[in-house]
Amino acid sequence: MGIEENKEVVRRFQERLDRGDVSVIDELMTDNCIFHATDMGIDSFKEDIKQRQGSRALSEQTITILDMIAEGDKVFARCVRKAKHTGKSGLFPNISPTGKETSVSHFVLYRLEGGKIAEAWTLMNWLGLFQQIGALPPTEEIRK
Amino acid sequence: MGIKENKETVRRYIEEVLAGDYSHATELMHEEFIGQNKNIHSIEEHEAFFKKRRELAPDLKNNLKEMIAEGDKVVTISVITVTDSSGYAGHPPTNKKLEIKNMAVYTLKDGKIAKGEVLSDSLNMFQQLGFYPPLPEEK
Repeated sequence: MGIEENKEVVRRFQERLDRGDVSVIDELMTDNCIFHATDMGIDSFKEDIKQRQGSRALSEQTITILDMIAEGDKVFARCVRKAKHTGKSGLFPNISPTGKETSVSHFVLYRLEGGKIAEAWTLMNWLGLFQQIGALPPTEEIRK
Repeated sequence: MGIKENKETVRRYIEEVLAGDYSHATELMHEEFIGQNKNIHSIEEHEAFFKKRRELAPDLKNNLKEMIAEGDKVVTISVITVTDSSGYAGHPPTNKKLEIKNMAVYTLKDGKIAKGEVLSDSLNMFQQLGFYPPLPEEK
């Protein structure tokens, strides 16, 4: 597989996941895919995705790839995740929906093996997201 | 410039400039350098920002784990290690050794770094410092 084919796999993976098509995990990830950000196995990843789709806190979720950089068997994507804060989160039961549009950076690096994702490193700006919905205080308030 | 040269430039930027050695900074960084996250617009602003940071965190180190490149861009994955010896922004020092995950995209122009876009696991850093509690599992 060349880097253009690998990029196409990652693009398809993100797009279908974005649409809520969970079957793409079985199709485009290897059975023993390794997740470095969270040290989770593929079964917990699937569970995590299902939970996120059932999230009552965020709706109209989209993920847009702004930039893709590939070399050898690896593909990096710089993405932005947008959503609307329209429900209560199980994580922050005291925070009422604000109706706010949230927007945070999400960086992912995948290693591919025979056209499937075999290893994933991801980093998302959770702090920014939780601050945007008012669940955690802004960084300026932490400064004394 | 090929990706091999670009990677070497970024590796030197991390190992020299980010460690406080600016003697080759003008060879490695473009004169119009932009550090997107820290609102840095020149090599001088970069030096001033990181000088202050090193004073507060003298053992801060960017440990490079992975690097990939294509065209004029280089991506790095690294782990920042630092001891909280001065205290974060006015807080008492915890003297904890922190590990912060970090990913960056560098754009090169004429063989020099013209732009850096960095994403760090800040939530986890604040949790390590004890400012935010660990999050409960979502039910």
